[in-house]
Parts: sequence; C-alpha cells; structure tokens
Amino acid sequence: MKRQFYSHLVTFEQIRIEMSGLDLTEKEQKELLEIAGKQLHYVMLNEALSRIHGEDKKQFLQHLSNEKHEEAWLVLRTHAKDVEKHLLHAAHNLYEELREDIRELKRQKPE
Amino acid sequence: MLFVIIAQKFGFNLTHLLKHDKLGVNLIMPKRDYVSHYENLKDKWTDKEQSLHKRLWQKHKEALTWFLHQSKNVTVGSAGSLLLFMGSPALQIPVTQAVQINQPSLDNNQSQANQSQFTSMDKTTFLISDLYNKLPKDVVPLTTEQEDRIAAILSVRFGIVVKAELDGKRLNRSYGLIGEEQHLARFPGDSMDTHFTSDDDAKNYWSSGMAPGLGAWGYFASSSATLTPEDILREKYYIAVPTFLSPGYDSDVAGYNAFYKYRKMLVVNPQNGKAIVADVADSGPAEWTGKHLGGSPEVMVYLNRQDGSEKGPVLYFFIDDPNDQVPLGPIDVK
Repeated sequence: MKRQFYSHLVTFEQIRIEMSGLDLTEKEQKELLEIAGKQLHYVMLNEALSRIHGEDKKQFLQHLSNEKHEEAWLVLRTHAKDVEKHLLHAAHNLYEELREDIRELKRQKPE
Repeated sequence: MLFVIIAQKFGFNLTHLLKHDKLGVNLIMPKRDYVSHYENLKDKWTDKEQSLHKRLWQKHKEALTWFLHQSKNVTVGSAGSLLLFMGSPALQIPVTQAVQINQPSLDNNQSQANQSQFTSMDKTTFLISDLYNKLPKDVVPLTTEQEDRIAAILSVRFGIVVKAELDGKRLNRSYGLIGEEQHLARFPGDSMDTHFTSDDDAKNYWSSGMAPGLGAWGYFASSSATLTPEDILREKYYIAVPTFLSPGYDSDVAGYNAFYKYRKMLVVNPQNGKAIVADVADSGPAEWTGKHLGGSPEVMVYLNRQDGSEKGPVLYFFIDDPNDQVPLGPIDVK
C-alpha cells in the first residue's frame, strides 16, 4: 500500500490480526484490507480537510498530490490545533467499527 | 444468462444487488443459509466505503473539484497518487477524465461510451468541471458561442435537448443572478392555508409567503376542484423571467406571451451541479433589482440559491420538449 500522509500514525496491523481468526483465503483477506484502506483514506482526508479552510485546503491537496507530506503536515499543523489527535481519533473510531464487524462474525456460529 | 452478462459488463455486483433485493425481484440465486465471512464483510465494507467517499465529496466538493481542475497542470500520475492510488471504484480515472473533459467531445456516442466507464463516479463533479471551464468569471451575458457550448454540455449531461434560442425566440440572457419569488395563487381563494400538499412542504416553504398579485398568466386553474397535478407542479417549480426583454418582444407581444406561457426551462446552479426543470409562470424581475430571473421558494431551496447579498448565478436554457415528455422538478445528471 502506498505511503500516505497518515501512514506514520496508523497501521492495519490490529485489523489484520483480528481478521486472522476468520475463514478467509489470503486473497480474500488482502481484498478486504484494501477496502478497509480506502475507508481509512476517505476518513483521514475528510478529517484533515475538515480542520482547515479555503485556500489552506487547496494548498494541502496540492502538497499531497506532489507527495510532499512534510509540507502538507505544515499546513495542517499551522492551521489546525491538535490535528494529529483528531486524525487518530477518527482512525480509532473507524477501526473500532471494523473490528466490531469482524468480532460479530466470530460470534456467529456456522449452521 | 444474458442478464448476468449485461449486468457484469456494466459493473453491477449481482451478488450485492440480489442479496439486498435492490432489483426488487427474486432472480437466479438460490436462497443460502450461510454467507461466508468474505462475502459478509465485503458487502458491508464496500457499502461503508462508498458512503465515506460520498461524504468526503459532499463535504469538500469545492476543494476537491478545484483539485481536479488544477491537476491538468500536473502529471496525471502525481495527481492520481492522492485520489486514485487505491483504485477506488468511485474514483476510477477521474483525473484523466477531468483532463479530457476540458476539451469535451460533444459527440453523443463518445460521451455515452465515456459514461459507461464511470458508472459509479460522481457525475455531478464532471458537470461542474465542464461548466467551470466554459463560463466567464463574472456573471455576464454569454456569447452565442458560449451558449452553444453550454447548451451542448447540458444536453449531453442531462439527456434532454436544451437551447438558448427556441423557435426563433430567446431571452435577454441565459446566465444570470436568481432571486427568490413568493408562492403564486393557483386558483381563486388559494391561500397559505390551502397551498401545501404536505406538512413538510408547509414547514419548509411557508415563510416565503404568497405574492400579492397573480402570475403572468393569471390563475393556474379556475377553482380548487379543477386544479390538476400538473397545475400544482407548474406553480411549485416556476420561474419568473423578463419576457419583456426578449429581443423582438414588442413586435409580437401576443406571440411571445404564448411562447413563454409555462415554457419549460432547465435551470442549473453551475457551482453545485444541481438542476431543475422549471416552467415560466411569471414575468420579471425588473432590471433595477439587479436580479436577472426569479425562482419559486421550492426552486431556490433545491438549487441552494439564496436571495439578497448571497444571491448567485444560474444557467437557464429552454428545453426542446415538443411532446411534453420532460417532467417538471429536480433532474439528475445521467
């Protein structure tokens, strides 16, 4: 998975571990992790963009498109207070939802 | 089998559709007592992913649309690293397409072929992109050439034929600032107490009040008993345009009035892509108001347009609908 501006904050390890108890092939697990990755990407982009305004949003997106993550973080940190905390919180909420989906499946007994 | 092939060709997830009964019929698949972990999570997480994607675009449409525009100045690959790196089904090739539609081919076949590649994409975004590149920065009258380009874009995007000039008649402009009108009395005795057909409508649109005078064509019906569903829609989705400013109006007032009476027009907010099929039911506003046309409260709310200092522009083009097949009301990009 390509490195993103939030890659140093969050990983999929916990989700991967949770999924290991499911009846999934390697290919299926990989596909599901990709879907989860898209969810995370949208959540992180949404959270970051929600913390900044107007031209700052455009500047942030421009830096991301050029893969200048440090510059992108500079925009975030300059204009959004405690932005890492908010991003982590958003990611945590998503993870909890994903983990609950997995746990719910584990609780179900096959007929 | 043919159905399966067609559905798959156009990218529909049959398992998903059938499981959720989105086709409204029981087809093909035998009932299963057990859904695999993979299928269960894939369906659930794909729905969630699409919902998150939609929320992202709804909330940050302006910035993301801007990004798509400016991405034509950078390499597609680097722009794609932001939005496309995961091959999201909702964002497949949008940057490439955004670049392409800056020089849109208005050939129907090509356009339809392009459409099929992006069935799940946010089509409205591309409409906004199209218009953004074709409209002048200021809200000024469009040139004939600009009108033709815009009309072609709207016709293709909405699947209806729209024109700035129809039957040799045109308004003074096709791009202007819209203001809010009041409700119109539909029949003698129609009041705010009798005007709404639902509590929600009353709640949402009561505050606009009833215009003291009648619309340009008088009452829509002679009595409440003869009021038809069409009359109700004609008032609900009406616009007021300065018919009297049409070139040639004074030379044939009766002919122009007959032409404009309940004439259907496509009204589009170019900044959010929202569009509505409206009808001309009043004449105005006066030039001194600084507004170029008016919309019913329902039209204004749907287009997300406001009156006063917040007023904004819309595009308004005649709909060529000789067989009266285009229904009044909101219309989506095809």
